[in-house]
Amino acid sequence: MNSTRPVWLGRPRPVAVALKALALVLTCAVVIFPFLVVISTSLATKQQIDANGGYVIWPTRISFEAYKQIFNGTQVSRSIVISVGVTAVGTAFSLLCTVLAAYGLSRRQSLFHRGLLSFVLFTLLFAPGMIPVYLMVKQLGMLNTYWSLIIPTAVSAFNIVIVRGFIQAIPRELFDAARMDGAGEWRILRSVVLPNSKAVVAVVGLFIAVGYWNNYFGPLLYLNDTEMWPLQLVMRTFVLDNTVTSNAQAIPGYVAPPAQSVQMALVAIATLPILCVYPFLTKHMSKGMLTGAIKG
Amino acid sequence: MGIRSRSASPVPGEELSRRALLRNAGLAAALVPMAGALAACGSGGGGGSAPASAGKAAAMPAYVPPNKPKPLYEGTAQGVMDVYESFPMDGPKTVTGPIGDGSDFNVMIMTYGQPSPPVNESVYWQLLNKELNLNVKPLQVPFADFQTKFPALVAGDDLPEFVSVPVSQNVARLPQLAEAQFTDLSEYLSGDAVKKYPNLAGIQEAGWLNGFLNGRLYGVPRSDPIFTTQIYTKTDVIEAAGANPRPANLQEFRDLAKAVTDPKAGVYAFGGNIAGFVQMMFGVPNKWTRNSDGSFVSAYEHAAFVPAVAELAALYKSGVFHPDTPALISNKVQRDALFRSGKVAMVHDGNRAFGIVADDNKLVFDIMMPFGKDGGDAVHWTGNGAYAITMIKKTSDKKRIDLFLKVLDYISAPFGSRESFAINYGVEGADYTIKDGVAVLTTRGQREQDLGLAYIAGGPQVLCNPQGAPGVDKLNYDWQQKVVSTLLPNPAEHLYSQTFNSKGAALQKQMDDAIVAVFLGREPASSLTAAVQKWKSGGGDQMAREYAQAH
Repeated sequence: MNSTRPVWLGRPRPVAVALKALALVLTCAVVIFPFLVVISTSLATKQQIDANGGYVIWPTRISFEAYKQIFNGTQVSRSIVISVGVTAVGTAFSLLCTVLAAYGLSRRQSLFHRGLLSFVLFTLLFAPGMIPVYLMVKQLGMLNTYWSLIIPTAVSAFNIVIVRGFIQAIPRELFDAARMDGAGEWRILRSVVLPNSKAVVAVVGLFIAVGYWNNYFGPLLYLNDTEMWPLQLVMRTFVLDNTVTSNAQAIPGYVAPPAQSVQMALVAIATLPILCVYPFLTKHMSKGMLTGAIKG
Repeated sequence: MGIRSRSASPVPGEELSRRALLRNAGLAAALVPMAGALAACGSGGGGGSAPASAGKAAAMPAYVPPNKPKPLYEGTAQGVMDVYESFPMDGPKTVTGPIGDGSDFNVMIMTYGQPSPPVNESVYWQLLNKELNLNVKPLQVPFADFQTKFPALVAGDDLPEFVSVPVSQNVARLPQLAEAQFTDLSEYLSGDAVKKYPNLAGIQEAGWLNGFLNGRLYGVPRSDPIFTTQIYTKTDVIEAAGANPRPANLQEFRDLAKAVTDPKAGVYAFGGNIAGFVQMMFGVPNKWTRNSDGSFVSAYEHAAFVPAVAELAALYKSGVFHPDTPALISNKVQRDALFRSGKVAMVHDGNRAFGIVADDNKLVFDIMMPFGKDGGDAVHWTGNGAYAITMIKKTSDKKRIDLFLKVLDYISAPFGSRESFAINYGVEGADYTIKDGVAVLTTRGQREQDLGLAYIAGGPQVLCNPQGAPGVDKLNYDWQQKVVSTLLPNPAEHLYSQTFNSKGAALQKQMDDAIVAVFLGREPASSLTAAVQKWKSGGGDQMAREYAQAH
């Protein structure tokens, strides 16, 4: 009978559909609007930016001047290559370390299991300070090398805990079956654990990649050679100190670039790669998040 | 991805021993409070004892007017800046004889811009290497990140041989650091000794005062104008509103603000914090007052302080500030854009507000002459006179010290000299072109300027904005002429206070937040009394005692 049907099985009324659509459109607008402003301002002329009081929602005349400024003899092109390289190598290295550590710590019978697990969890509670880490990086001979951007942040206890939880949720019967077929630990990891952990690896991989991509603090501390700076640090020099954009401003004959559009163009450039990667990982994201949420 | 090998120690022959590491880590731990994280530790251990005074135990370097081209309008010894129509193309050569010896010149430089192109791609850098006969190797530190990077460099004993330190950043325990790690330059620069370096002798006392630490001369300054802030007025907007652009007292100022504000048209009188201007109008002292008995009293305790902030809050409440003011306080780019578009009629900015005076020759504006709230003169708070000081690490090698000072002598060449032209413009064709007899930086020249070497030392700056609105420099010059007689120095400016050094930034932020809270109507003006008490008990009273002792 209709009266006993749950409400979510009933046909929604047009008003309800319209309200839901409106809510979705508004939510999307809230998300998309900042991106629109960033891209529009980056493509606007200085006159329009001034006339609009700093930000533009839709450029009346498209100008690529900001992008020309950025790529014309600046560090940006080089820094993009560096950022991509560090992110790719760093993510691969971090994922390898994370999965290996998580798998090892998921085996309760493994050597020093409790001690090692406590040691990993300890780092969640007490992070080292900036100066001790700097001194450690220096003593390891990593100052002014790209390794300094990868090694100190390669392993995160949080990610290990997430992946470990996921691996522990894989039915024990699968491990037992693999053992009965004569598989060793490496084979189990490769043939049982990884195929069943794609979702969590994708999620954690994305977290790690975004972390490497956005990292400016490590490069600031460890890289004295500006030729080695990644995009985020170069971008920071454009965006953060928005009072001036160049030392040359104090010199007669200097023509200032449209600072706001240059800043927005850089934000657009820095956001683009992550936006490109994100759609390919969304299905894993939802699954990984859900699994992580309902399994301990 | 290529992995670079470990770089060599920036100072030859200095390897990191365990003891040095621990010593530097201790000093760095004391420096970290700059970032605010360990502010409470700053007044405690580490870093040696606080010096009693950073007064002038060593003599002030002699002043010899520099050899410069004749300006359009002559500045004054009090600080009014020279005006030039454009950069003189036939200026004198001020440095004779060899400078460098072909060695490396490792120097830490603050930079406001993006990183410079590498030396093999920068003809500007190559030119400077040739001019100086050195291999300049800059360690570029973004200005905004200085307080993060500097303690780490100290901790790792990674400071290069030459270090430029921004004065405004209040480097924690700088006197102790200077004593421990940098060379006392007093015997090379005090009194007539400086005359060996003629361009350094052209630096004025206001700049040199910043180079004294523990009473000795450790740093060579990069001079800054002594004027601080002013109000720029968009005259076309004000005239369209039929208002008086040059108010002479508080009531006329209020009338002006009210007349230009038109919310329907999106036009407002102000778009940022004008607390400094209003306080100067009310006669609030420049941070401190020194009484006849030698005691120091904070400006926050002055009778005019709370009424000045209350007036600011009343102006805000009356609706003459742009609705985005809370965000505009820290967003100069947007503030300037609103000013240029006429949506904000008055903007409070520095003496050389680049977004306004330097590059828009169509912008019509004026600079408001300061006035007292009841008419007559206001006070104008004097700045500290320098942007940065540059030091050399501890050495007894007199040749190396001489080389360092010769390099700074070259960099300090006065505006209009041949050396100054090379530093400012680089190589013709690549870095600049001549347009109507005026040198104009190319895009490449602008990028290569980001090397920043020009900003580690220098004498008085000048007003020269050929790309700005016609007459902009004369406008500024006239303003300076009028204001110079009302300059009010901070009597504690060059005195050392351990409490200020370790807690000053946090205490300042506490008071700035309290002022902004009243300004934006979040708190009543009466809340300032409690805020000042908290500031005093948190370290303000201690600072007053330390300044009195140091004077």
